[in-house]
Parts: sequence; structure tokens; C-alpha cells
Amino acid sequence: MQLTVSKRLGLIILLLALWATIYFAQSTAVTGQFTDTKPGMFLTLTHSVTLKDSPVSSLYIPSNLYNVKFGQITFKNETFDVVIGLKNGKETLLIDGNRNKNLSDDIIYSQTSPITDTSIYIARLTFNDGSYYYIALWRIKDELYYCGITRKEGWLYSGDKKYKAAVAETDSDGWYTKGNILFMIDLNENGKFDGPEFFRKYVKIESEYYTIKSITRNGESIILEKNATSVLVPFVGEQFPNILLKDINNKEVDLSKPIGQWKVIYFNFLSASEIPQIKNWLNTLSNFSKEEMKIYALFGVSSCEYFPSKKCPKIEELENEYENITIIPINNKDLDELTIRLRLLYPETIMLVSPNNTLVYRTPAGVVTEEAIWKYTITMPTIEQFSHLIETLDKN
Amino acid sequence: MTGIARWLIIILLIILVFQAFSTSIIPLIEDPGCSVTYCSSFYVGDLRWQAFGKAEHYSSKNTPLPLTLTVEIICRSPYLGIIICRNKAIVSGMGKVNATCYCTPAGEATFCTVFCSCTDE
Repeated sequence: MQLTVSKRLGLIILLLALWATIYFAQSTAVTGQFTDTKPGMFLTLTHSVTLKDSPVSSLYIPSNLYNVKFGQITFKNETFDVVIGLKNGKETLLIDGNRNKNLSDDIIYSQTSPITDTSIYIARLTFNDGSYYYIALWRIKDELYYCGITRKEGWLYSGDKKYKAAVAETDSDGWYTKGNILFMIDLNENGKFDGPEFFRKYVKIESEYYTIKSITRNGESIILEKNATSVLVPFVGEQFPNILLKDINNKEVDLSKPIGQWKVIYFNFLSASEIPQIKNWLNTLSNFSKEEMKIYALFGVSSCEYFPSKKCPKIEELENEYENITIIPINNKDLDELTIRLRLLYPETIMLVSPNNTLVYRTPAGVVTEEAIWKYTITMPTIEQFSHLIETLDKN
Repeated sequence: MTGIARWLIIILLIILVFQAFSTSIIPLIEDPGCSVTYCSSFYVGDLRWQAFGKAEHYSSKNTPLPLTLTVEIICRSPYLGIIICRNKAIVSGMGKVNATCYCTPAGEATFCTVFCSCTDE
């Protein structure tokens, strides 16, 4: 077939346009592939079932198990039998992880919670499609509690760079959905996931911000798309972005302003148990000169707004008492988004931003990922330590 | 009819006419709406948090009126704010209702917040 010159030119333009679309689409999207299912995550959303004296369906149970109780747990519409009893006087939990009604051939081990001394069991479930899912289970009286502790590991591809990464679902239903995942990227390439390398909803890679565009239900594939605005608080040493937030009265506040002044951002919940600590911080922070320091106090609105008292003041009372401080009450429905964007730690967090908008300090947090149930450490500074830090930085 | 009686009738008529054209309707039973009177959460042992709420709905004449109270407890991991336990109790009744729900987040320290709300039905 002979093409005229104009048709040939049209075809070349079309091919060029197609190539340009593919090239630029690829350069703004980041993709990840996660095919390796592993145990090891923070505790996620807990579910419970009541244990019964008899099984729902027939099961083969080891004969040396006494005081046996039975339960069933369901993930992805597949049901797994659980049995708990005493073996040689010690509590033992068995789960039919491969659903063959035989409790002697399933993978399970236990670790003891250092906080509560409760035995927590880690089990592997096998679904009909052959995929695995790891869960943690523990018993309190006649209730069996469980949650997912599975992550899917693989690689994240960003331009010509490749990072070790993983994704975990946080609502313990076995499915990976955008609003309920925790994303981890080994950005410093040290072979493990450190504190600042965990993300929910928004991700920061190098100097770019991304939103999770989509994830397959089995968690094996993810697409991130570039976000035009800096939506996430950065790591210490990096530029603090323009983070606009709305308080409970819909008033807009920009935490990166004013430029040229030190800024302190303090977060806590306005509840009776936290008030003494809040007042200590506000009393100290309000002593700093208004010209040198801009203080923002963000409060999750809680029981004090329902039942204010001398020990539990309302927002207005705090505003009147601490005129030097910008008090920002946060609506409960906005709390999660703010937690994600500011990477808030509960119940309190403190950040220090320099006059040229560099984040110089935030409440340190670390993670321990050696065991199946991951742990974190949060080290809120004392008021004296923080005051000393400000004085030292200001002098320099 | 005496002069005083005539004046009394005229005054009564004026009051009636005024009431008829008045835009404010005086209700037979005043309904101030329901209100939450207590809302709190506390640790009760065995890794369990309890949320408890109370609400009331009475007319101005102290007649119990219908209401529905919702108490929700959410416990989050202090690190990254992942929800590790969530529960809700919804109770309907007349006059005064209480609602309780529990959350049992495991292991690590957790931070629980409670939310209460009521509706007039």
C-alpha cells in the first residue's frame, strides 16, 4: 500500500505524539511490584470472635488438648477454624491455616507481649488461590482477638532508580485498598525500613511528592502519581512545605508562615488526661517573644468541648489565656488527614521550623522490625530539653 | 352592656386578633432537642477500653421524648495513627439513654478517643 506524503507525515506525527505521551506519563508515575508475602508488620485493626464450647464443624484435634474452646475467623470470605486449650498445663492455640480440617499440620508460633505478658500467636493462612496471609491472635477470657500482620515486599521503580519497598493493609480484611494501606520504601538503601520511610496515602521520594493512585486488591501492584503540591511534612533538614489547614471554624492557617521567624508546632488532644501536660507546654512556649517565635498549638477536639471545667478548658478559654499562641482546634473528621500530612505522633508531637523554613526538629520516632510484630519508640522531649534546643539554635 | 364590659370585650377581641396575626406560634410542648450529658472513655483492664455516653431528651414540661445516642470509640497506634480498634454503640429510647462500647487493642500503648452524638428520634 502506497502512502501519500501527507499521510506519511500524519503517521509520523501520530507516532511522535504517542511516544511523547508514554514517555512523559512514565516519568511522572512511579510503579511498584510486590510478590513476596512476609510476616512482620505493626498491629493493625483488631477483630474478635467469641469462643464456644463446641466446634461449628467436625475437626481433627490432638488428643492431649484439654479445656478446649472453638472459634472461626473469616478473611476474604474464607473461614478458618481456631482451637485453644491447654496442653501439658500450658495455653496452646491451633489454627487450621490450610483449611483441611486437620490442626496438626499448620504453621503457628507464639511470642509474648512485653507490655501485657499475653501470649500472641502468629499463624499463616493459605487461601484457595494459594496466596498467604499472616495474622496475630491472642485470647482474653472467652474472646479471641486477631489482626493482620502481613506485608508484601518487592520493588518500587522511580525513573531509573529502584528501591526495596513493601505494602501492608491496615484494616485486617486481607484486601489491599487505597485508604487502608501502609507503604514502606527503603529510601536510604540500608536494607531495612526506618522510621521516616513509612507512608500512608502520600509519599515523598527524593524531592518529589506522590499520591497513591491505585493498588490491586491482592496488593501485588501499585501506581503512585506525582502530586503538584508538597502535601507532606518533610524529614528533618528539609524545607517545610506550605501546609494549609482549616480549623474547626473553617479558618485557613498556613503553618509555614511567617517566613523569617522561628515556628513551633505543638499537637495534642484537648482531653482531661492531657490538659496538665498541654498547660505546661503552653506556659513555657508563651514565654518566648512574639517577635522571635510563632507558636502554633493544634488540638484534636475531644471531651473538654463536651464538658468543659476548670481542669478541662474550652478552646476559647485557652485562646484568652495564651494570646501569644495561635490555637488551632482540629475537627475529628479532619484528624486522620492531618495525622498523615503532618506525620503526627499520638498523643503529642512537637516540631521546630527555622526562619528560612527548614524543619530542624520533630519528635523522634524509631521502629524495631526484627520480630513478627513490629514496635516503635517515640521520644517526646521534655520541656527543658526543647527550650534548651531553641536557645542553642537561636544563639547560633 | 355597661361601658366597662364593652371595653373588656374590645380588649379581648384585640388580643385575639393580635394572636391570630402574630408570626410566633406558641407550641403546646416545647422541645429543646436532645443533648449529650456524658461522654468519656477509660481503661478497664485486660487490654480493654470502655466508652460510655449518656444523653437526654425531655420536653419543657419534663415529658420524655424519643432520642438515639451513638457512642463511638476509636483507638489508634501512637505511631502513624493507624486505627487498631474501633467500635460503636447505638441506643434508642425515651427520655434518658446510656450507651457503652468496648475496644480491645492489643499489646502496645494506644490512644483512644470517644465521640458521642444524639438525634431526636
